[in-house]
Amino acid sequence: MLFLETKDVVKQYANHLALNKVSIQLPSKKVFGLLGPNGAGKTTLIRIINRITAPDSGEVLFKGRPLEAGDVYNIGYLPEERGLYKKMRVGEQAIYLARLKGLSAIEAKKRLTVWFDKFGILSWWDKKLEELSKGMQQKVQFIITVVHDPELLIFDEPFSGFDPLNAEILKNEILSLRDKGKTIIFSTHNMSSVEEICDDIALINRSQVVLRGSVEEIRSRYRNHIFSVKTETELKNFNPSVGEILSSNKGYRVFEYRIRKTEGISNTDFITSLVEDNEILSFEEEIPSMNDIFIQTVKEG
Amino acid sequence: MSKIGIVIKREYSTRVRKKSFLILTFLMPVLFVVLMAGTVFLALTNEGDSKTIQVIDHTGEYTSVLQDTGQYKFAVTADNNTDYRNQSDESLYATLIITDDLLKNPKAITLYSKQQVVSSASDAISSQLNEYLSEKKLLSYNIPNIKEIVEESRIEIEMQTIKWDDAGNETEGSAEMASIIGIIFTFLIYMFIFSYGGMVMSGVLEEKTNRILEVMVSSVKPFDLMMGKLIGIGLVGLTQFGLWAALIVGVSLVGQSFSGSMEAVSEVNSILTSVDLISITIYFVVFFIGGYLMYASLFAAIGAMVNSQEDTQQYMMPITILILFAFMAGTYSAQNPDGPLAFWTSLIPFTSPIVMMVRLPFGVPWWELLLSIGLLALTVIFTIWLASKIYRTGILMYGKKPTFGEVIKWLKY
Repeated sequence: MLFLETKDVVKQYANHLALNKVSIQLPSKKVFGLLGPNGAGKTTLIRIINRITAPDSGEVLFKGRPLEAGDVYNIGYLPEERGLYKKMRVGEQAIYLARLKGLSAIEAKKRLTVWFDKFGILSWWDKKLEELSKGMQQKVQFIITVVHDPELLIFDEPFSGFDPLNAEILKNEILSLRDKGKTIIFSTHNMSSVEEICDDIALINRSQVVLRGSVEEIRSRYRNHIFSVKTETELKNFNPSVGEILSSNKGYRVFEYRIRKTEGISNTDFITSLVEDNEILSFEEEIPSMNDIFIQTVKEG
Repeated sequence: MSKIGIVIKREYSTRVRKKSFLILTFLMPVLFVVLMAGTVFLALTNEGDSKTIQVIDHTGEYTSVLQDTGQYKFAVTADNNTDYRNQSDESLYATLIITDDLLKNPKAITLYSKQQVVSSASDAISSQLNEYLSEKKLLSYNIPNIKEIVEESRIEIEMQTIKWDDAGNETEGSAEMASIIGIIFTFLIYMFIFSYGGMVMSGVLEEKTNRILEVMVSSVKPFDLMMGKLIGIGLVGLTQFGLWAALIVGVSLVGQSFSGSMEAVSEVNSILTSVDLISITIYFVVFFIGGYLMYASLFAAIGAMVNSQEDTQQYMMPITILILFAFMAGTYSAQNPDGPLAFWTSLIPFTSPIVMMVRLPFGVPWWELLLSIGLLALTVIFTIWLASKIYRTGILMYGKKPTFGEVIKWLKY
């Protein structure tokens, strides 16, 4: 079942078209990557899903019916540009923001205490926000986003400002939220995290969706039949009809080759032609990274 | 609790609990009294320092007429002294030269000084000489007993001013007291509108520049956020006013319990009760709420439009001029609380909250009050509508300052 769907959403600003018939489909309980270069329209789309702005045309369906005002309580949104009251005590403003999302004061305090404890920042409860480091502030932001236990979570560049250690904690937290049955929209430029976290993606470039699908399917679609082959000795009797050697590299007791397989030849035939005269150490197809796909797609567009 | 309620509570409680709020609330009246006392003290000490005016009288007639006043001393110099121009005596303020009989030739008197002569100096001289000369002129008519007749003809009436209340009862009125109270309330409402309006603006700006709004707008309607802020900060203002009122009542109660020994206090009290302070206070609150909401909503819109404190200047200017004009109109209206300036500016919503404060102690017809409050209420609704449109779009707009044209476009979104 689709959890959220946008249909031909158009948003026109004074002098540019921010979204041009954007349609995305979010399966339930999956992590959906919303990718695209700066200024592509991601934030506008997220704002429309959050009902902060209204689309000029097109519609947003939430669990199969049009999105309603009350649905925003079921959304947790961590914006890219985010901040809190610098002079206010951390616990106090977390309760304030949680109450604005519909929790009672008592319930908010109870849940926040659990979360603060989990992130090891409970001792900061009565500190003013300005006394916290940027990373800690980000943790507080994250907690505030998830505290009202929404079904849909939207993270816009959640890792910015985190050191690798805390980024790992956050990543695991996002994945465990997914495992608990939350649907997650994840917007980022960090493509390696996309491969690790996302199930499906949509790539927006110049106001339009230019690529969509599951991460695995897209990566295999972008395969260009390049294989990385390692042998013990120099490659002998290579048959040029099965492929083309792109590069070779001699390491310590190992030879590395990048070979593009000729189209129409099966992997079995290809590997058979190699093993006849050579001792193969490893044989692996190079699957393009999301980063390569991102750059290639955006450049082409 | 509704969203607006939660926002109001935060805006109110974070501000009231600030140390600066408490200190300011209790220090301001003290500071005010100290400042007033200081000004009076300085004015008094100034008088003790008298200036010397050198008198060169060719006729020799007038030297005895000029008596020293508190501020000026007259020093008679021989009439053959001609190098007075070059005197470098610092203590000498001015030189008065009389060359002829002033009855025959009134222009034969000149006051020289190296500085611009202040009017109190020439007044001190001319008033004394005028009196002497008119007496001399009268005597020159040779009418018997002329001096006694003139003395008798000097009449000064002693007029009491009495104000009737609605029931026709007499209350002792004091125009001076009324204008002092009027000016105090004008100043208060002017200060409150400015400082609390400014607080709204910097609050909105803080939320915008710290990107807090982005986190909140998904769960709260921008209108609720803005209204919550307006109401919350307005309540802080009313709290401060309430504390001051309580402080004044407390002090005067303590004063009253000592009034047996301190007649001055009871006298002040009787004058204070002659002006209906309670109803003025109620109107103050009404006009404060109106004036505050009107201006603070505009301040909120400005805060939402710009990206930094520096950018606010340009948009603040017209509003500042308007409020300043209202304050000036209020001060002038104290002289003539029923004049056309006072009448019109106390009806026009952008000036009425401030000017009306001056007029209240003198009594304002009920229909004028009603009309003024009605117009103010309509304007408040309009400015809040306007501000909420600008606020809604402005708070999520970053980057360059919007032009007025763009802001007008926001109204149509």
